Amino acid sequence: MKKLFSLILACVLTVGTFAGCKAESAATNSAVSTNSDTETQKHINVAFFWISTGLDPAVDYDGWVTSRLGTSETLIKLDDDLKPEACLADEWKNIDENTWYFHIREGVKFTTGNQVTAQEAADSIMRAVESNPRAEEYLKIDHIDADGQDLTIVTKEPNAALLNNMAEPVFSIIDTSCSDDEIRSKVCGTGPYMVTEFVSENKVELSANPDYWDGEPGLDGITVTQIVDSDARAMSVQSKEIDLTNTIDNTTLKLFTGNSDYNVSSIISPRVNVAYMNNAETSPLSDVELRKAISYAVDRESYAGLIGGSAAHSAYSDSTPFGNETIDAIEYDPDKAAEILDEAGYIDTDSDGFREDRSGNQLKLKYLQAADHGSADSAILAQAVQSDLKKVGINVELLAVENLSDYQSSGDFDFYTANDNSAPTGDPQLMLETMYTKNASSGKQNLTGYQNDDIDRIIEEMNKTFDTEERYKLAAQASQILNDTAANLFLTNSYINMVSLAKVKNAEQPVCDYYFITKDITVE
Amino acid sequence: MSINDSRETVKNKYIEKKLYGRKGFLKAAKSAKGKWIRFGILLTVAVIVVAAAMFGHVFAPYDPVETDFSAALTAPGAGHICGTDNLGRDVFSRILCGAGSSFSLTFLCIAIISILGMILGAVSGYFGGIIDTFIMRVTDVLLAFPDSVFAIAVVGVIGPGLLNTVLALSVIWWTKYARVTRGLVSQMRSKDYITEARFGGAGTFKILYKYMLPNILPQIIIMATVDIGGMMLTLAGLSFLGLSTQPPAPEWGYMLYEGKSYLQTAPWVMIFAGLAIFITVIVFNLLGDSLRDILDPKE
Repeated sequence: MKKLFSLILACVLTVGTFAGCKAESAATNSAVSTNSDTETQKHINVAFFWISTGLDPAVDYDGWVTSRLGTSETLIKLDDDLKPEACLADEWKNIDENTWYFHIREGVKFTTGNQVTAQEAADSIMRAVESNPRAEEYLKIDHIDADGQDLTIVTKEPNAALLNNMAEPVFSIIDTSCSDDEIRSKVCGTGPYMVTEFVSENKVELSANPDYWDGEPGLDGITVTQIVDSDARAMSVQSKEIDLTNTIDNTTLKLFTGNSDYNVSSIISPRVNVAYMNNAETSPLSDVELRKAISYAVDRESYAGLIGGSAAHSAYSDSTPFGNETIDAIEYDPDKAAEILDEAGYIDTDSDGFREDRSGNQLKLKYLQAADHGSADSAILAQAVQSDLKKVGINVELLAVENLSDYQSSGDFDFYTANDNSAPTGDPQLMLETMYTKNASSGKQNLTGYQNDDIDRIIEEMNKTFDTEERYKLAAQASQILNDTAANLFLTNSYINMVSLAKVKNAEQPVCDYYFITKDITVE
Repeated sequence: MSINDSRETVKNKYIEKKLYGRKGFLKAAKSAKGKWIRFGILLTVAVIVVAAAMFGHVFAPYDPVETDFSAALTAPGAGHICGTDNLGRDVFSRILCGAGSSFSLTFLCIAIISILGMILGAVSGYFGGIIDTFIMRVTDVLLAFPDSVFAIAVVGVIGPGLLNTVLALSVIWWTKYARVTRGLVSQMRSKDYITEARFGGAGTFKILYKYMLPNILPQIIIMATVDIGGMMLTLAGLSFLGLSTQPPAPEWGYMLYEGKSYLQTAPWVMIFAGLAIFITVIVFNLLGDSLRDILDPKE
């Protein structure tokens, strides 16, 4: 009797648990539908893989979030060819090597109701430069003059990358008359949407900006939730809890493509999956021959088949116009890798299947792997690289770490992976300067100790080269040098994608992944 | 029929049921013979599982870490009976070879915690006083921590890896054993045969080893067997979180993690690893139960 009772109790509890789940999701669904039902409000739920701890565009990379939210804009923005296009500035020109002129669009208002003038823009840019070292490196600014709607930026030295760098969301134009706290929770920008509620790393409620300068936004309200895990994002779309999200892993994307219940917008991005190699003396990878052999030993085409995207040919993604087609890429050739290793003196002396280093000591390379954007891709790449290197006799030890930056700053690694944007501002100089020189000291930076006089010379030349095509040629030269010195393992160019329910219209994945919510997105 | 009559009938029925009423294999055996049969069967299954784990690499049809990018995510079929994972590795071979590390880790952990717990518990119960208070307060503090969370914290500090996980779990799991041992030892300490042994000239170590240990051991063995399932699940949980085995070494918990992304597109990656854990845990839990039926002096 007692047993029967406990069995029944167990069943009831189990059913109760599941019923609980069901009831909960039903509740969220009904909350969502009431939201959209009342007075036929157009409202959607969006999932981001990252919502920052604050919404101040000048802090760290938080500007990328405010830009994705459609709450802040910059003077210019980048189109899908990575060319500058008018945004808050409707006209610009390069007056001389050190002087840039921007005309601020008339009649633009902040969400606070204040007009956007050149003075406001100047204050906003200077605020970014003062509070974010990355911003200072991007502009090399001397001073700014503001007069009515005319903005003149004078740089300390020639900075040809300035125009493109202006599109970086750290330079979002915000109302600096707002207090820092207000900016952190409300942005006070100019975008099509404004923040009505913000919960750090969790949720943002947006409503349409009635004064938006570029027409009426397509939706009345948006709820943006942070869902870190790619699979969880995919499932939330399938359960219709979320109407729109992005960066779904390639294998999961198959569930949505070709299904009329969903829209999928996918585009090859400037992002490159890189296995950075430690060039510092402390690492065996400081030997260029070893790096070269490793570069020949990895089968990039197959990796692209595993995680989607295409095989990388250089430090720059194939989606960039930086002349990848003109340079010699390192192709998969395990025999050549073995030959280089043999010649360089990496020989398996104790017959354990792995080569020893030149002085006969065990060679074991430490590969740090951390999940990027909640995707499983980095884990797959790490194991694929490890398995390919094993085939040529190089022993790689994988370490899945949460605190990657601790290892990086202590230099305690041979490889680390990252999915990095090779042209964050659509210009080749930024990535080259931050990752391959000692110039950058904040944000993304050169942690591998790579140094090359030719690269340094190209950067200097780029500063003074204002012609776009000439800059691209210099970029091609640089990526050839990086390939020749096997600076890092450039694995795949990654696709980025947006997935939405069929009712969501005009959700197109832009090449620049700091754009996401636009005024055009609407629902039927 | 009077109330007394019906009571009598119910009572008789109950006694009858208690004596002969063993209907299912999963129900606890009541007769001594039944207990032994049940134990024998479960032990055989457990031995088979352990043997499969220890010699899995011999039977494995493929190298568990050998990748074949062109055969990634192949469905179960003739070539690969459990399919392949995201890097084209044979899931069946990975499960067989992964068993070795899952089991050896579990047994290592159980050995460490039961011995450590027994020693500390015996010291605490036998000597009493301030040592007892100190050890018992430490166990109280450790018992207040959720074990997985504590293990995650420890691994977070000293870095991920097999031995670090074992260390992290050992630090927190021994308390149960210490408490049971202490209880038994402090009870026994005042028993006549211990007093007589002491008068007979036996030293502290001899008393603990020769007169107390045989009385403690059955309890500890029962606890340890029951704990195997729980420990295996905890370890699988930690390696699911990427804290234990580092890739590409096959491990069941980590295989679940890798399969998670393919739950909808290639469910076999996850299902077979999950099944392996399920079967093993249930076998050892039942074995522990049945061992208790046999060894527990109360029955």
